[in-house]
Amino acid sequence: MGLSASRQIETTAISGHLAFPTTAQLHHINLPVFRQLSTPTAVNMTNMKLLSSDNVEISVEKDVAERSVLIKNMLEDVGETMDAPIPIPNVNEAVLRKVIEWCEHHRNDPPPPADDDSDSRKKSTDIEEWDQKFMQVDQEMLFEIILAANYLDIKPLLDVGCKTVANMIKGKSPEEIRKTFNIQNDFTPEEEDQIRRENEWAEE
Amino acid sequence: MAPPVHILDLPVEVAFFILDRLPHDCLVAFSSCSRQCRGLSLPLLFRSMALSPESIAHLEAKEDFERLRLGVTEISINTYRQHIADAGIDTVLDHLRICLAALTLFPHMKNLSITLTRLSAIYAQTLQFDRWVLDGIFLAISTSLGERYSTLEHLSLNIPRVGDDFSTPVARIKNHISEVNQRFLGLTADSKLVEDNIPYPPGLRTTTINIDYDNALHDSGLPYLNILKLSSQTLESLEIYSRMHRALGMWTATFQLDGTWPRVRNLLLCHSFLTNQDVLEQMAQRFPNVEEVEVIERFLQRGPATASLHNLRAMKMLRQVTLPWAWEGTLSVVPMPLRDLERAVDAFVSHGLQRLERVVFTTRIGSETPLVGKCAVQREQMGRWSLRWVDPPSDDEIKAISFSHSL
Repeated sequence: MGLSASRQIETTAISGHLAFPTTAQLHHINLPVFRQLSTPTAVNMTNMKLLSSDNVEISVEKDVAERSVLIKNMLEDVGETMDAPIPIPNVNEAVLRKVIEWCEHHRNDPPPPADDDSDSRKKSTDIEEWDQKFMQVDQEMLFEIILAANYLDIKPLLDVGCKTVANMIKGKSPEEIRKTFNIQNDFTPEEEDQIRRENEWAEE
Repeated sequence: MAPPVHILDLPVEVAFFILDRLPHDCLVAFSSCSRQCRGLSLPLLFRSMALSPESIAHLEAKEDFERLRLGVTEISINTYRQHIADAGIDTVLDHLRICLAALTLFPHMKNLSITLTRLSAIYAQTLQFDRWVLDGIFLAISTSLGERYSTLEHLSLNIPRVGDDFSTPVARIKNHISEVNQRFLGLTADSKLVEDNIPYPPGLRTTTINIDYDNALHDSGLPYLNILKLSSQTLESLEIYSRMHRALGMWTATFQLDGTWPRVRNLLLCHSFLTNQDVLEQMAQRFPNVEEVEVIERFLQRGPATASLHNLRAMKMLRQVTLPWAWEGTLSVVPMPLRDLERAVDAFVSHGLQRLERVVFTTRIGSETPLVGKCAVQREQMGRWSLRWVDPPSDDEIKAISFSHSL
């Protein structure tokens, strides 16, 4: 919010003199008024620190960190003064940095629609391009991101992670799924017969 | 905390979140991978369950039946299959009786679908699925569900065939069925059902009644609508159709139904209803707030059903009507002359259907996986109407269809 508002002021301010400079160009324009406006405003751009499970301090802007409902609630509980790093005991540095990367990219996302549990949303496994690339990590990292999103209560990230795993299952035979996720088949042949029969009783 | 490297190490609620996104066939595949996969997916896999004496006996013996049964929200009971019907009427009734008694095991069931048996058993032993058989079924459901009966939201009733003469002589039937089934159907002195006292479902929100072969309807005045009797304040949507094409006027004025269903907004009807003004006027009184009517007709040969469209005029709250339009060979253009449509819609408007916004024509092409084209006449500003495709088929789809037709 803070960022886009200040950008808007920039564009309005210069529109009389210049033809829509890019943000990069703006940083090079040497007028005091622009420099002042480009500086993060005090309210929304406050930095804070998170402490990963392996004891690494990571600095993050407050509105980015607040994509996590857990952190947001925590900050509301303790009030505005939060100088000490917030410990995130369940998430290591590598994962935490990855999660923050996602939160930064999605910092301005609108809140999800109210009918959040609708079937169409649940059944859809469409993932936007940036998120698809973001999720191109090894399985261990993927599951760790999902766990972190669950712990930190970042619903949209949990959503993307679960969709990614669902897509890895989709369209595969049981044998292919076992291979993908390294699952041991521990059924006896009799049990396999039984399962085939049972599946007929489970309907769409 | 040791880092999880395995999908099966995820917390159960997260695993559910993933599995919940899978289409049914993928869930089946995942659940067949290992015991742990099976256990994890069981409640989701059996959200919708086909109940039979065999499936009940087998699943009840399973260790995790407790988890499975709590996940079940939809149940279908189907006696249509050949081997059941061929085994004779007593087997069909056993099947129904055991399944209906087992409904008590599934406290979260909201949807129930019952499909009655096909021809052979009926011909062999002359039991027809007449009203008194259905009444026995409802008594069994209400006994099984007890206080939970009012949480049953959807009922789907598929009746492949009902009797030609509607009322089967009870004495004749009694010789063919066991005592326990006689009691189930209310044929014994101590189980006799009192007509006005049948425990029909009290809280239905949606109902589907599908009668394939409907000789009885002609004589009996749609007795199946009786099952809606006690849901008058809850019912929102009703579908009633028959696959059998009925000649004009065969739905007679014997449409006997008392009471009103003020919350019903959606009606899905087969084309036969549209041809009978008396029945539609009755319906307009019984369902005074209907906003959407969809008409389906599988055997429509040519052109739209506009000829009888004006019979819907008694439904004053109509906002949208959907009608079938027979496939006539081209799809690259709107499948009908605009003039005809305007005339049809004009007829509507002149009958005072002031709330009407859209008339949608659907055309089905191909038999196995039909492509549905939709075209709508829509009310624009100042009372003008315009015609346009709704969800138009893509160029590729049209090409594929044209190609297969030119072959």
